[in-house]
Amino acid sequence: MSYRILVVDDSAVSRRMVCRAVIMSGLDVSEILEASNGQEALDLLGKSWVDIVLADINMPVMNGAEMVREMAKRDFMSVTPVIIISSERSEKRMEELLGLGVHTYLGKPFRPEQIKQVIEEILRERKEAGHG
Amino acid sequence: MANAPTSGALSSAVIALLADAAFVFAEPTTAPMPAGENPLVARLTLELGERWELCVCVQDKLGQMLAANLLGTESETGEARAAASDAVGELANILAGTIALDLFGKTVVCKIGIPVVAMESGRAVGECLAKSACRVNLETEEGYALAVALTAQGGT
Repeated sequence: MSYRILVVDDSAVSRRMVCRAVIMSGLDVSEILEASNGQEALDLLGKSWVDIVLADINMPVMNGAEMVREMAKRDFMSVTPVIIISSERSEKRMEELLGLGVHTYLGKPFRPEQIKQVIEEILRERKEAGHG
Repeated sequence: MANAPTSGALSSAVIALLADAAFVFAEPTTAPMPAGENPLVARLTLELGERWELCVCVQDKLGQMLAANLLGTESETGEARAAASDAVGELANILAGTIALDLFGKTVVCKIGIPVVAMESGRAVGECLAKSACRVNLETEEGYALAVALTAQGGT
């Protein structure tokens, strides 16, 4: 089975780094979609199925936390796992985002193997839940 | 406020991050940024109880090198040249998170602003850096200059 991944970050350089890490993870990816803020991401999620979202927090127009809140309001998006990749690494910020339903919080700078590990964990959980 | 961050601590944080995130190896220098060049400057606000401004200045060529290293491409490509500003902004963003964690601790609530990147005059940058009590000038092993300053802006 191949997967569709959505990378959300206002920095094109950062999106490219995350895309490279996803490709290097060896995951069977059919398509990597990109959005530069939370609103663009919601628009894409409304049009097509995405298996995993990797998103930054600090973005113009709509930030990552608002995006996660909006996703939770929509049934078909609320089940999509979100991995936050952010430079903000305070305990309180991480707790806040995890409390909103974020699957994993990775700090920047990240290593490609961290992305691989988290994606494998999500896919394993989905398989165990009978969605794989 | 917590203990004021020192230039030494800032220097250690910047040097470690450059090596870890961007494969750029640098050492402190007493030489200022070259006054005759207009460096790429990324500025962002950092709220850590008190508001700070983080200013990251790099020589244009170093901006290209950062972009190339982050993108996994060559420094002299059009892609690296086009991404230099974005790369300096991303470096400032990651550095802000590292400073918050290393200099203020992981329990301090931190809010990082969106970086604004522009090419500024070398003289104006020099004057701005001179005002900051917490600053560091670095030189990479390729001979490129980089300066970082963290300046208190008052309460939030």
